[in-house]
Amino acid sequence: MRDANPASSAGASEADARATDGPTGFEADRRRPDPRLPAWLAAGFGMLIFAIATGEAALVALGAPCLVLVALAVPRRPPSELRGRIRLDEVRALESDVVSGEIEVHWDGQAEVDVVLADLRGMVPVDPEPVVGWSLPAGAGPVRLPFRLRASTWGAHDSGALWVRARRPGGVLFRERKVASMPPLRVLPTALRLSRLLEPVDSRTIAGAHVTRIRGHGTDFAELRPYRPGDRLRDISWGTSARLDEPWVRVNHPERIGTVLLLLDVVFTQGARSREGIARVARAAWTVASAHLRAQDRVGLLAWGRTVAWLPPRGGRRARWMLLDELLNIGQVVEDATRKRSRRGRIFVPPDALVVGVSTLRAETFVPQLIHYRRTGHATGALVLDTSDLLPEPATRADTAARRIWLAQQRAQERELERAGVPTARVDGGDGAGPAILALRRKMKIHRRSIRAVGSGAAPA
Amino acid sequence: MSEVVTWWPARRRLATLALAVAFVTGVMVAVVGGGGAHVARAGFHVVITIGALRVAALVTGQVVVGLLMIASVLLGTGLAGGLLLAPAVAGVIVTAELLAAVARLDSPIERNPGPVVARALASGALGGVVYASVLVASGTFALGPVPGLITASGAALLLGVLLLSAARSR
Repeated sequence: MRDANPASSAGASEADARATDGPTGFEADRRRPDPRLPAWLAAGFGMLIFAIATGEAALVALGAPCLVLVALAVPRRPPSELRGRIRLDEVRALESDVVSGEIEVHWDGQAEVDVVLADLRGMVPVDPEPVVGWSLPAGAGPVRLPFRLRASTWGAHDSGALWVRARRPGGVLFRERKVASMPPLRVLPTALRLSRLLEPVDSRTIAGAHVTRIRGHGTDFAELRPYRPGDRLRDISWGTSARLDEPWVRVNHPERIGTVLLLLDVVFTQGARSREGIARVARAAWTVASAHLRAQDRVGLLAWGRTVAWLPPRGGRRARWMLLDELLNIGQVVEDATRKRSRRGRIFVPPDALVVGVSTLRAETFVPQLIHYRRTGHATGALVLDTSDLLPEPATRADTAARRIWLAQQRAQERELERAGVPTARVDGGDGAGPAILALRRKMKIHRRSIRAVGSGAAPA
Repeated sequence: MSEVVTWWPARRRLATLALAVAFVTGVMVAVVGGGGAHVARAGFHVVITIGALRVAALVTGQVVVGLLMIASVLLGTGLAGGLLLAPAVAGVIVTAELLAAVARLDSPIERNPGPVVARALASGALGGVVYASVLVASGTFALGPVPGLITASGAALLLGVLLLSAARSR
């Protein structure tokens, strides 16, 4: 195998799992003639016909070379085996980072091969540039071609496609095929942009919204109880023990007072509108998460078919990056319905966890998931982000009707959640999520009271 | 197999070369033909070559126009004059080869034009030789158009097969 850059091939095996394999699943496979083939045929036969029509045998001599060239070139059929794959060294990068990768192309026999990595969005070629493409002189495959891209905009990028065009040396027929697609790359915003994207929020919005029944080591007093073997001496309440004449211990609430799981949902397409949609979900999720993190809650990110990703307790930049990364990952999983998921179905959620869904209601799985968690006894709520202002302006009556239907479907999904006992609050347009979170908190309180009232047989307040 | 090639101005060079060959071909035809009409035809050939640099489909037009331009001279000259046009036939073929290479490089990939030029020259030489051989054969045996067609096609195909087998054995 040829290796244009042996240094870059080191570590190829460890990243092989991230590589996309080419030959299956692509329909674009065309065999086309070179512009010379119609030229030789037209000129060759045209001259022969002209010779017959004029009765000039000498004109045959003008058509003969063209026919000879056709006869020589046509038997050289393009390669029947043509496949390739793209490997990226990273699955995640920061904006303006340079990501290296390698393209591997296989074909049978001797061929002249053009290789182009096309339709790149959110990434700019660095080497080679201005296009990630090579024109390989006649030779045998396989060949490895290293390349480097710069991540220009944040988001999930997997839009590139590897096109290969091959023909035999001197042949007039070539084969053009899309042999592989780009492995997904999640590009996170830089620290500066991240701060602007997810501005710190006022923690009063949700802090203290709930208290767990768990008790343990902490600073907040929970109760006093008689001493039991195994209790720490430092927990003995000396005053109470002296009054009651037997050892009593002080029991506190643990530092971590609750578990909050954010059920995130985002579907994206390419472009600025999609990025704004992701940013809105991220902002709302971060508003909820940062408030709970400040209240010492344990905050996790929940996505379909994936394990819970727990945010670092102190929040900060790392937690924000993690949140965005998770959102981009979820978007990719939702977008790519064909991708195999490591785990199917729902995952284990701690029984005392509060599940808060943050969604644009574009993914079909979101509502059933949240209702499932409600039915399994979790406290649940949903923040629904209105992204209707991100839709393109309707150009026709059909567009207007489609928009209305889409909005009606969103309302129906909200009603379905409410009916299932999941309080919802809507975050309008580009507004902050604070008011919606307060509204959701009020609704959840009313909901809890009504459940207690129903449980105790009294009329709800 | 040689190294991966990354030459950026290759397409521009090939285009310039194609235009130069078309111009020289036109001059040859005009010189052999020796008339204003031939100069006009040669000019048209150059114009259509310029068009084919932008639109690949015009390569067919370039070859047809080029051969008609030569035919107009060939019909008025004898065997000796016809043989003088063999370089012009080669020129039309070389121009078409180069135009096809330019069209193939429509994407801004960098490449080495060396093999393309060599192959174009080889095709041109082959075309010139075939033209001269068939012209001599048809002139020597004074064949009519239909027997000439059959004989020339057979001779051309035989020559092609021989050349192909010779190239493979190398």
